[in-house]
Amino acid sequence: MTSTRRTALIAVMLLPSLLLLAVFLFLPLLRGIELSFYTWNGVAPVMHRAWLDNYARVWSDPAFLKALSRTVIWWAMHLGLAVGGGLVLAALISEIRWRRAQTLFRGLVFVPHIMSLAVVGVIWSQLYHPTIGLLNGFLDAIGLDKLAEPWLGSTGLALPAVGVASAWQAYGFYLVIFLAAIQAVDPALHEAAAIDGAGPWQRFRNITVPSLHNAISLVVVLAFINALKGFGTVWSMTEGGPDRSTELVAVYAYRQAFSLGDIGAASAAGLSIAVIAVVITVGFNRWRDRAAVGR
Amino acid sequence: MRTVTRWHHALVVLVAVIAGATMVPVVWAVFSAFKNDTEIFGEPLGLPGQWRWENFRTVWTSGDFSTYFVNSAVIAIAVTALTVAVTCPAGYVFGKLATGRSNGIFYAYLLVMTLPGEAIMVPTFYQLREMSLVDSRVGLGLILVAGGVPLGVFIARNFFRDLPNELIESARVDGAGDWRIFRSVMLPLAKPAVLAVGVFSFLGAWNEYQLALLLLFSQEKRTIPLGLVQFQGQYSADSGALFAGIVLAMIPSILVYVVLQRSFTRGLVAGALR
Repeated sequence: MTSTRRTALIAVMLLPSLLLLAVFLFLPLLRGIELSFYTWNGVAPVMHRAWLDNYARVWSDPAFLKALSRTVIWWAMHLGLAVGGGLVLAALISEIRWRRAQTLFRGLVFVPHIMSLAVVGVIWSQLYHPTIGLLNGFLDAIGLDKLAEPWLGSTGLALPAVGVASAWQAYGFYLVIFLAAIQAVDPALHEAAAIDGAGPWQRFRNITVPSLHNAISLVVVLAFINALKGFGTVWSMTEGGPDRSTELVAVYAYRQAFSLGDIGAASAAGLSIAVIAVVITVGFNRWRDRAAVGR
Repeated sequence: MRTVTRWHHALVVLVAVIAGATMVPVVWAVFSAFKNDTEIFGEPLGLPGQWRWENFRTVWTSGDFSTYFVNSAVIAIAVTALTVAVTCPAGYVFGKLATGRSNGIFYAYLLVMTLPGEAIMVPTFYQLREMSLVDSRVGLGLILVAGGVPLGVFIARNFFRDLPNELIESARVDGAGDWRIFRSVMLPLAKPAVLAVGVFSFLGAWNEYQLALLLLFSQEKRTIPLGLVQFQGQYSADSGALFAGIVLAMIPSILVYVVLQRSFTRGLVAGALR
């Protein structure tokens, strides 16, 4: 086969996927850069060039900065509950010696992750429901009805409440990654340590955690990217309320566009998140490569 | 030895309790789908005394879930078929046909994966509006296929790369060209990759919420996640029916997951540890 025919075949086989990426990801990205330089309400026939005005407005908007700090809180909760919970439970599951039980437990805790964020949001909204909700019903049943709250209706509790729902959905995903990494660790290490008299906690602390170095650092970044997202769960549970108390940056951008008609600011906010996400991912990868060379 | 066994039993019980607790919201939702409001509050975790299938009839007809379900099913099946059709040839190119030269393009595919779609939601809307693809199930489907391309190409490329080159060489000796080799020799072997890509795109499309929220607004075009959240806002008085809607939205995801769990987990780990 001549090489021109092969090149033509390669082009034909790549073309559909390249076209889709170009039209549905690169064009919107370029569009976003363009829109972020204009003042526009989404319907007017003319746009006014604003250069970096939108970025300046967004980054000096207290609501955006608050949304950003909520995103950081959200990330911390995600790390503590979903990543931490996934790691600990993965370590526990890996100690189970019955293969079938391991598979069963892993399969069960992963179930929330295969559900739509809308389904997760609706289930948990009902769970937190002030009157028919399972949570207040449970508190009532064990005599702690004083602790019952309108969880999603309170500005102080709504963000943690939505964060718990999101962690519930996500932790099985981190668990599967951790479990795969743990099972790749040489069992001889554990046996040798056990012979030397190391208990389960010592083995977790001194063998499992260090050998998961790569998986853990990867998951910390994944969790940050997921925190920047977080739109679906929040929107299906609270739409950013009450009183904007669950407004993450993605929600801020969406509202800025479709409730306030400020397309320029919405695009600038969205692109700011995109830049942060790409910088963190790339920076992290370079740091990890350098750390790997140093070792 | 006995203390070790006892410790192991305690560990199994502990993990079982945690796994069980994780399932509580799901089980509660499924049971509640068969109850009326009084029973949901009175006996939250008890089995339904009387299985009220009429909750399902309520969401299916007056809740419009028949429309949502058909929309979601058609979109998810079309997206799955298209994603597989588009990513397998591309994965084969990167895995076998043009390994050295095409690395740059392949990394461009991977880089796209780090771009959070949420960041460009607003411009995506205006870009698609310009192409008359808003409030269109076709538009939603195409953007879902595009979103599944990077991971799908990645999974397919890894799979084809690991197939032995001898297969290609012996087929070439028999006079087969590049396309014939792909179509008749390699693709039939790629069932695990096709399944992994298929499960991912099906679940992604069936579950998709925020793009549907962004792009669909006519009642008759809505998908299940969108319809469910809307139903929650409108029918707050009939919780049993709402839970029935939740169950309808969950069933296909859970079926696909249970049947194809191995393909799914394999693809997931490959994608995360890239």
